[in-house]
Amino acid sequence: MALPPNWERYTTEDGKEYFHNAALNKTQWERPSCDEVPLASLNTSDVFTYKPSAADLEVPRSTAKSQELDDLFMGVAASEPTELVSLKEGPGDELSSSGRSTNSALPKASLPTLQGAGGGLGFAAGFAAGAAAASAASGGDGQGSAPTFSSWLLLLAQSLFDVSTDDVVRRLKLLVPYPAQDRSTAEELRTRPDFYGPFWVATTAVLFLAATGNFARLIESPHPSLFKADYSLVPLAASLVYGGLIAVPILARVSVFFTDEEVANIDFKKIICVCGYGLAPSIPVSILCIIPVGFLRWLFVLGGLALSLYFIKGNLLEDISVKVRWLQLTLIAAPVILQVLVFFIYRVRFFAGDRD
Amino acid sequence: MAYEPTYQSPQFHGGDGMVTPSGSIESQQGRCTLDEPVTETIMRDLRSIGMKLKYVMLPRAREDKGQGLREWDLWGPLVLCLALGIMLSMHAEQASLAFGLVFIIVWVGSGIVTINALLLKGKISFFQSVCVLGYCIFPLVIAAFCSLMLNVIWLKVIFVTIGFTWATGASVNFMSELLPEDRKALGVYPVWLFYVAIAWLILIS
Repeated sequence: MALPPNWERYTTEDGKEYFHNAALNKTQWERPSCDEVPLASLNTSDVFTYKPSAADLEVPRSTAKSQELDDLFMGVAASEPTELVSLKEGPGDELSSSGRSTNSALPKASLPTLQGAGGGLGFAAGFAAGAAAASAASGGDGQGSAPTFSSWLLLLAQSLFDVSTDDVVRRLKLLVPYPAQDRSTAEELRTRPDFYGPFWVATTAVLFLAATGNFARLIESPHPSLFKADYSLVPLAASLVYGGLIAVPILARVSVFFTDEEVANIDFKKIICVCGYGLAPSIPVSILCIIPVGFLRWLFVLGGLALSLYFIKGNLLEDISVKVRWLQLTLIAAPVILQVLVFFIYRVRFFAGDRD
Repeated sequence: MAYEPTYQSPQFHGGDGMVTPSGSIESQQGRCTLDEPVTETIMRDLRSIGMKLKYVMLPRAREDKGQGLREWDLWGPLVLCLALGIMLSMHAEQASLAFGLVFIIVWVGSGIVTINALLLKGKISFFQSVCVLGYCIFPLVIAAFCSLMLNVIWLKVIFVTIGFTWATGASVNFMSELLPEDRKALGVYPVWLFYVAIAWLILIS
């Protein structure tokens, strides 16, 4: 029969059994009765089952260090108004403020929100999991040292990677204009841009552009067994795609510098996010371009470019509302030029027939 | 009668993905390694690499989700990476570029895949994950060796497909185990992409 929680059965050296309760620090010969224990906990009494409780979440929060880290975060958020807004709206902030004012346990009902980290930036949830991951990342110095720059960086990066599989899939679906776009997802992309999508879409694009270029040459070569791969397509594709993704926000930032526009009016994270997702059509296009017909390749490339530009138009252009006319034009042109460059250089440079 | 017949170690059902970093030092505890011959030290390391390579090739690695690679080392991945780089650059026109690409994809790639899992709040130890990803390219290295021996296009495709399936099968479980439920696919996709990149390099070589 199972023992109540916290009780363990031991045997003395001469074989007599006794019972010990680690929580109460009590030892006795008699088997403890299960009467006062609620039925639900009986099944799991032998094995310690981890149940997330409000107390667990209080631990990192109540220490002075994480408070400090929290303040640091708020400071960063304050310098970027868009983040501040989403922080105020998110359920995470509500929880963290309640946790700070009262040191008592949080109502259990609010825990799922915290765990899911669905809305807002979920910083509060980030702390529980993030603190563990931070100590794992810094090579195991898990003695809870003071918030270092690297752990702060990790938490910041985690907030940018705070998406679920569903989020990413829905955001990628925005690229397909038919059936009609889901407005709520577009709105979510606006308020909560992520970097997971842009980074992996760009990486996949680099790999596929270089790979399909080589496959197309292999198919077209008259002697496949003598085919020599052109590895230089990988650095070319990488500098094109990654370079473009880095250059666009830098260009935007520099052009803002030359006007008296408020930097706060422009969300650079969102520009990167939309640019990155906008590269996604290049992946299916590159696969289709293996078909060795020049005319079809142009068709696919132009089709993919149209999808990309339509996505940028729908999700980025509407939001850029700055007073200076030429600044507006620059901010609009930069992502568009990136897409056009990627698609056209791919078509012109990556296939054998057009090389010389 | 046994001294502690019923004591059961605590099992954390909520966080069973938690893996503590454990290097090779731990396995040598209690053994004096200072006065042994150098050959013995090297042989022991080589044996441990050999054991892990064997482990990756066995279907058991898929079932227990890469737990056999828990005591990480980076020698195995280094050897595999160098072997693959040399094989691919042997007949390439741009030999140094091919070798460099293999080296960068294996090391930077496995590093980025691991960082990605960390950023997705996976409970993962950095070097352990790099070790698992590195050892799991072994099937692809074998595929590269076979296709180097028999340079026929369709045989190459078959070898690489088998190697790729084997490599992803052995490593994807490990990664998905350590990630939160709603973002498993987000962590597994880069692992898949990592092996696609290596498989592609072998295929066009």
